[in-house]
Amino acid sequence: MKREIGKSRLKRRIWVYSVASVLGLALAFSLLWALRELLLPSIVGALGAYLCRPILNRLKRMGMSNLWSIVLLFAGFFLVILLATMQLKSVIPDQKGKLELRVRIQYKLTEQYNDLMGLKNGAKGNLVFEMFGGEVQPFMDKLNNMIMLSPDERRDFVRLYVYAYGNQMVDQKYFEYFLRNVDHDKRRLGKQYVGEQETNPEKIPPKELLLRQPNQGNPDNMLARVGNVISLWLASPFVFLFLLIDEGEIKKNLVTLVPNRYFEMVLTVIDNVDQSIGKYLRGTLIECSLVGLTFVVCLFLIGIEFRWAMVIGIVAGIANAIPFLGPAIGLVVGLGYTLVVEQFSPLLPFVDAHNMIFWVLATVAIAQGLDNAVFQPVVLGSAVSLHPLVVVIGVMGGSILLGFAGMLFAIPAIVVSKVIVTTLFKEMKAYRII
Amino acid sequence: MLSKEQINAFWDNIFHREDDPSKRDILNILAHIPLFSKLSRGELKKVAKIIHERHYAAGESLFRMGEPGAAMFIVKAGQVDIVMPKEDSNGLILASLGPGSFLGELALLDDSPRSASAVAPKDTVAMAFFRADLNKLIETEAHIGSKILKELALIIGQRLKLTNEQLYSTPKPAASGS
Repeated sequence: MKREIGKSRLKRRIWVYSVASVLGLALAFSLLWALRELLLPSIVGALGAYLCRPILNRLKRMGMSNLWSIVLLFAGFFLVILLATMQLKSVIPDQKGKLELRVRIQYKLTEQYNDLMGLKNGAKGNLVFEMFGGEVQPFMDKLNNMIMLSPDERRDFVRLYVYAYGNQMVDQKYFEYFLRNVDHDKRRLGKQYVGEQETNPEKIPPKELLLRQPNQGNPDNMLARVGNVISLWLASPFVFLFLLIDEGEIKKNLVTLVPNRYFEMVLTVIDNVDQSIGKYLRGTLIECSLVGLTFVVCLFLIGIEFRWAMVIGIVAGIANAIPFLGPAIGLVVGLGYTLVVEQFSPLLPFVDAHNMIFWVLATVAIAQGLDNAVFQPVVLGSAVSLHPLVVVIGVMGGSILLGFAGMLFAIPAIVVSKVIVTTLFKEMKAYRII
Repeated sequence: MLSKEQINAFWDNIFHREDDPSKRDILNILAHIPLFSKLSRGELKKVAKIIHERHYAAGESLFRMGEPGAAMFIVKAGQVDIVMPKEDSNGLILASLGPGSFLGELALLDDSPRSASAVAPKDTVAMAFFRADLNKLIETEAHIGSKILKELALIIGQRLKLTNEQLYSTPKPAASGS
């Protein structure tokens, strides 16, 4: 009789667990989907808390109280986010800046190309042009078409310059670049060139000039947009704070859901996974920071303004988390800046404007050399290794699914899955479950 | 006008007074476990935070012989039998432990296989203290971790002495073939 009761209770339990699991998973996924905009800020906060946990432990070991350690780390996290946002804000150009940047890139690109191919001042081209011109020219044309301003953008550019400089706009350097670009595009495209009048300020109706002044966006909409972004990213420090305050309550509550048979195994898996992933993520963070720092130091030494060296360093450091593609992103950003830079003051005497590109290449080579020979072996060691094919497919898959964020998080996500699956199987065998 | 209960509840919320009877129970039980006997009330509260409470139905195993050990268990309510499993029967019961007893403490040192199984013969509530949590406690709250480890060493030392005494007091069998 007792056995019968036991069996029916077991059946009921299986039913309840199964239905609750399915409903719980469905609810969790639908919530995740509905709140997907909150996901990235929450991940950043959670990652920050996870990476700061050893620092919190160290501070506590040093005799600092739990409360003060958390306050200190929270202030540090807030400060880092604030400084990074301010730094990025200061380099993100406004509408005029964006148009100027494209004008400068196009002008400098054409200038460098003409220099290299011997096409300056209507010359017929040198040996390099004769050998490679046929292949490179169409690529350059495509690149020019991509960068060149559209008729509307050209009109906006002139309008913004009229508004900013009035009659003196023709003396401005970037306006001269703009006119040269227009000449170049006209010659290059011939009859295909669209829009003739937009470069002449007199042809633009004055009424339109007054109506469409810089920052013409609706302030209410802009405020709402900024407010929206700020409120979303407010989640990040809160997630950081509450995960740092948590002393294992979250894990404890989740473990209560695990059936008794798997309780010890699940705790062992969580601990092993935590150790492996913690080692990998902290190692990757230190490695990327060191690569970024190498970029900053080298670029500053070869004469790039410190503010820009910092920005390029941050981009190259973050991109370094993407295997294979990361160094290329660092290279492109560095070369791109070298292309448009107007003035620089190198600390090293042998660096000048003509060989700047080679020094940027050398910077990337030094950063990659140090990364492969020193940072990776010392910091990461043999934390987790992935097959190169998995890495390539993972990065490509990540970029298809989620763009740049997907590329950035693809490898950590694969590493986390690999560690969870391998540890789970190992422990399941040890506990004779499989 | 606020009642006295409401005012008390307000202050209790601020000072986190332990009014939850189940939490008070856990602290009382932990205080009587030799491993935690040297810990202060505040230190016991920190240990209580990382203790997992598990409910076992009659006949359910806490752990099985041969499986890697990961946690020490403390019986909160009910009963736990230490069983040497046998293929042809229900197994040999080596000991029966009641509320306030603890078992599997060697798992706090390493993951060597359990030397016997632990089964709850009736509905039982047990508290599990996990090795990885102890290791983290040693890292973050070294003074608590060292007190627990010292008591663990004393318990193991006493058991070793007892085993040696039993070994020496057992009459040696007469040498065969002489």
